[in-house]
Amino acid sequence: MKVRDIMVKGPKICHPDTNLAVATETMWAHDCGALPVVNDEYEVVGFITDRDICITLGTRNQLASEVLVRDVMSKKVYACAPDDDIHRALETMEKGKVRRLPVINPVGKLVGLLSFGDVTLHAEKKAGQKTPDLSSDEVVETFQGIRVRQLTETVPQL
Amino acid sequence: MKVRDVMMKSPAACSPWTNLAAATELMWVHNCGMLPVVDENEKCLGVITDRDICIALGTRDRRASEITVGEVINGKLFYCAAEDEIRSALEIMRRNRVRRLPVLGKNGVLEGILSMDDVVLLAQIGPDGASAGLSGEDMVKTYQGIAGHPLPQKRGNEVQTTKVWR
Repeated sequence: MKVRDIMVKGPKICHPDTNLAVATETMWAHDCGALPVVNDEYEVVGFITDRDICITLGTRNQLASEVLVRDVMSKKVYACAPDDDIHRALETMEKGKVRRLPVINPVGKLVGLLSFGDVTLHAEKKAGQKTPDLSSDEVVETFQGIRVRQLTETVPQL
Repeated sequence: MKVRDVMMKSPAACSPWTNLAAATELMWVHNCGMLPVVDENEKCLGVITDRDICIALGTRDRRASEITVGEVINGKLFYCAAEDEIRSALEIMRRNRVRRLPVLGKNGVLEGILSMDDVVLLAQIGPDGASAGLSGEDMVKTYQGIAGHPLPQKRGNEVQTTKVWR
């Protein structure tokens, strides 16, 4: 199973100079929680999520139209290629503790988005095979690797 | 395995009068993306997520200190009880496409939060998975339910401003 078999082609994007009001509108209209940030050559230069926008606007108390994506985005971006084996992509998600990877072709252009949610939809689809291309256990192991954290109690605050 | 074996007790929460700056601060400090919203008797009225705050601030173009949680949350509340079996809680998550559920006791009082992440951490991998109470397949089936069904198309001008708490 390759990344290209599962990825969403032509994902929604934004640019470094997009403001957060426009980025949010894109996320709202297309019901997505993350946008790759691309330059004029459609090369990935960053990544921004709805949580990034929440934390930025919530803690800085600024207007969404006054803040640019470039000031908020993650610049360290984990990615994969369309012909990568899906297991290698899962390892990258685990290593980067991320649930989404932009898919970049050999000439460096964004061609898709691979999300953990979409990977789970393909787990064990080929029933009847002794060794499925992707097992439930592999999917869960990856998620455990992404999400390992201590279970701690927190004090309620009102 | 029961919900109470896995849930986070005494979670961070907010009130309908909390403004979005304070709610964001709570999410930042506690490293969480969802806060139950409770009244003065700790009865749960709903939940607010980091995405809800992003959408509210991004589409309304107002400052976080000027909007209250009560203006943003809608009346929907999916929840479970501490004595529920984990599998039935996962089914609630799956059916309603949510990853976190407030755990409510008598009179709807907040007792904890059950998060899919915490459940997954406990899933047993391998051939003994099924007998250990929670298998990889249980997890993936839940995720498939959450991720699988296309959501209705939403437009920015359909943002709901529901109850305004005074």
